[in-house]
Amino acid sequence: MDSLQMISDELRGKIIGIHREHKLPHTGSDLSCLDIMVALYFKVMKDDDYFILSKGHAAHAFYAVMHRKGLIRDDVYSDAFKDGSLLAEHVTYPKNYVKTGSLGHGLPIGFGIALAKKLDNEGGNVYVLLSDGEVGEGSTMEAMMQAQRFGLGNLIAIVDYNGWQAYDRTLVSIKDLHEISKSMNWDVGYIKEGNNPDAVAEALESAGRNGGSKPIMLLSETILGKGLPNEGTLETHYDPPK
Amino acid sequence: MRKTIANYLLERLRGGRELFLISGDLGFHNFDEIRREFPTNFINIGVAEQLMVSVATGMALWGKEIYCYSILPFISFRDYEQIRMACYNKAPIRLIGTGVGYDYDLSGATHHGLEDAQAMTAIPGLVVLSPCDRKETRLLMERIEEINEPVFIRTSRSCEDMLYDESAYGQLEVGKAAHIRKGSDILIVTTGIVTKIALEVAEMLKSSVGRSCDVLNMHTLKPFDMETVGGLAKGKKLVVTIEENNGWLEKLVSTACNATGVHVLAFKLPDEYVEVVGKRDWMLEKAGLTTKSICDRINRTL
Repeated sequence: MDSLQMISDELRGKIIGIHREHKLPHTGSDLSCLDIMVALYFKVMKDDDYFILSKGHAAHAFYAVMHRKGLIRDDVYSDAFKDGSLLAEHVTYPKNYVKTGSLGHGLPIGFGIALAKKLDNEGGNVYVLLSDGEVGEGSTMEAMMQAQRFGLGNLIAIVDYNGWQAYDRTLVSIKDLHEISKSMNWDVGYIKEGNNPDAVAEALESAGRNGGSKPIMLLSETILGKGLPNEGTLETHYDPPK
Repeated sequence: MRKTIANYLLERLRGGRELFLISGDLGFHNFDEIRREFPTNFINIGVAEQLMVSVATGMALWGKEIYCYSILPFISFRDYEQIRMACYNKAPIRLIGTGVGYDYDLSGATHHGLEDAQAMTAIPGLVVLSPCDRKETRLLMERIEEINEPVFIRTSRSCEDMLYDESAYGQLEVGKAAHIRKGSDILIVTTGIVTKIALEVAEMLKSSVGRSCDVLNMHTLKPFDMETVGGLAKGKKLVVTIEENNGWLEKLVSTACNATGVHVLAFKLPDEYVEVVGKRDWMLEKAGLTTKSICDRINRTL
């Protein structure tokens, strides 16, 4: 069986190649959170778990993972970003996933799904992957403020904290985000090596077993554009790889 | 109308139906019984309309039957993009807004439902309902159970039990105009509680100058029944629109009547956020939306 790192490396190469070919933006966003999704889909998540990519602009990393899992067909993936593509630059596919693209919607919708699961005494967690810039949306804050009221211990938010939003350094520091989440009654955890899929998987698994009634916020420190020659720069957010 | 809806939901809950009502911290007295008897099924999400709609979206995607409630502008404009996302994701949520036009008269323009009709009908995949009385509200609530699409219902506090003939209610169908009065000279098209004014206008024109009117009640603004409106407009001396909105019904009806060449005379609210308020009747009078002023203008036009 391939190691998580081997899967990440393989998908990283695919994403960079396709972005170069189609001159696509958001390569940096894909590559910063790819390892989180690899950890989730190849190690952590069980059949009754659900996932929402709230930072919909990292759709390609999601599609690559879903394709590798066999949940997106070869022909659908190979037609990606061409005329007639079912896969847009923001999440549109597969059908049973929440479509995203506008920021600040994933966590509140995940909140609703987690609540529905809880009302049905259904097992499984709802994982929502957010960008660090997205925390600036009021709707994200509305969800953060109220999730604890409903005892949503099955809601796990992961912030891909790469330190960059679209046109600036991330305006909320990871320390402040920690304090804000804590004050809103979330269990907060750090993932130091957010681009090491094994480390991420370990952190996610221990968080997922927590069994408490508080929602869980994991702040994952990542590198924008991880794996590109100019990783860690704002250029990787919009400029296609050379 | 919201009490009608509250009673309907309560009845369904008592009948064993699993449904949820999420309120944006509003509905004092209206939902007291639901809240008391079914505390799990009533969720006060707080002063957070965006969260209300997104949580509803998530729950609906997970198979739950969900109703959301707030005052009209707060459940339409405040969370517009959340509604858009619900429709994009095909989550069959039901949104109930109270306060069409000047319903929240003295509250001021923040609470007036002036421009919601065009905003909501602009969203692809959203069914937009605009009932005229309590009976129609109740029937539409029953009808939407068969619809697996997101629905927006605009309601008013000041309304009557029944505005038209018992028999016509039986034919009520979402997306189909209700032909509630038959005539030959003029076609009046209306929506919401001002349907009452439309029927009074038709009656007054008949008794005072002998002109007979067809009255179409558009309880569904989307999908809009262009065919019935256009068909009935043919050969008329005049088409009249009466709405407690800033002109969206007029535009829809004008489009429907385009090919007929019949002139459309519109009665609507002024396209402005009012700075002077009063009781609803006073405000409607100021806007020219009274039975007498509408009849006078129709007679002057013909």
